[in-house]
Amino acid sequence: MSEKFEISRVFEASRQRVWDAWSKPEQLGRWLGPAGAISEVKHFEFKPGGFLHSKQTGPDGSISWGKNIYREIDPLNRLVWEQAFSNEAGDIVPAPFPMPWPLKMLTTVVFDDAAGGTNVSLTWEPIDPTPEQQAAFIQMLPSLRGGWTDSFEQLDALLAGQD
Amino acid sequence: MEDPLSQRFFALADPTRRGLLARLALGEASVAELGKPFSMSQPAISRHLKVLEAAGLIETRQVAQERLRRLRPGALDDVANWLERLRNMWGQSFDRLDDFLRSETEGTAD
Repeated sequence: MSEKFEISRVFEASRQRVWDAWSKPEQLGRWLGPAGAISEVKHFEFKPGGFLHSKQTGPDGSISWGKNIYREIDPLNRLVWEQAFSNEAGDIVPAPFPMPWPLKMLTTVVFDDAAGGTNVSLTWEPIDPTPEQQAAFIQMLPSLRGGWTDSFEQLDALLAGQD
Repeated sequence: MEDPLSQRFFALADPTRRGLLARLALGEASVAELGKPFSMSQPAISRHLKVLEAAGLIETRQVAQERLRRLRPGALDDVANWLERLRNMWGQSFDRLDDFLRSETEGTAD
């Protein structure tokens, strides 16, 4: 399947500074994760086969662990890793919610010069998903892309008990 | 199977039913819409929906000639939180990265 989640943005900073933000653990921990999340880097080995093990505390206080295993590191150009949920010990575990979600996601980040700064393009796709996981991912793609905001507002309303 | 928690786990143990919930997390839908991604008859889908409803995970709303299924408010709060977190994972990370890069002056990023 060629179905992927893609996002790109131009950051007003040099390639080196943007690359540093992705490759230095003390910088990664300052921005990785959704708004309100606190990321703590517990292990960081920046080489192919090495991994990032981090703890994320959500805005609601829920704790989750993640493991990113680096596949390709091409300084200033390209970064590829396998992203998974993990436990505190660093073992890869299924997603901590009772919904189909791939065990591993392939994350590819490409850095390019752009007018006014550095363009970062990221793609996210399931690795060896079961048909069920693939179907769930494809169903979620529009909402991951933000194109179905209404559906989520609808869900929020439903969960809040409104109509 | 009597207590709600066991019922809920039983309902969630089946891949088709989890797929149906994943679809319903995106909005309410008819049986026909829900059945589309599955190679299954409409009665088979209806049976799965009955299990989900008995477990308190979904509810039915009659709209004109159609019976629409939707997630029951609160039944999947943890799941909804996770969907929200996944949805915001990269967009909000990029927002935060932008703030981070702006907050650092040249030469102090290291």
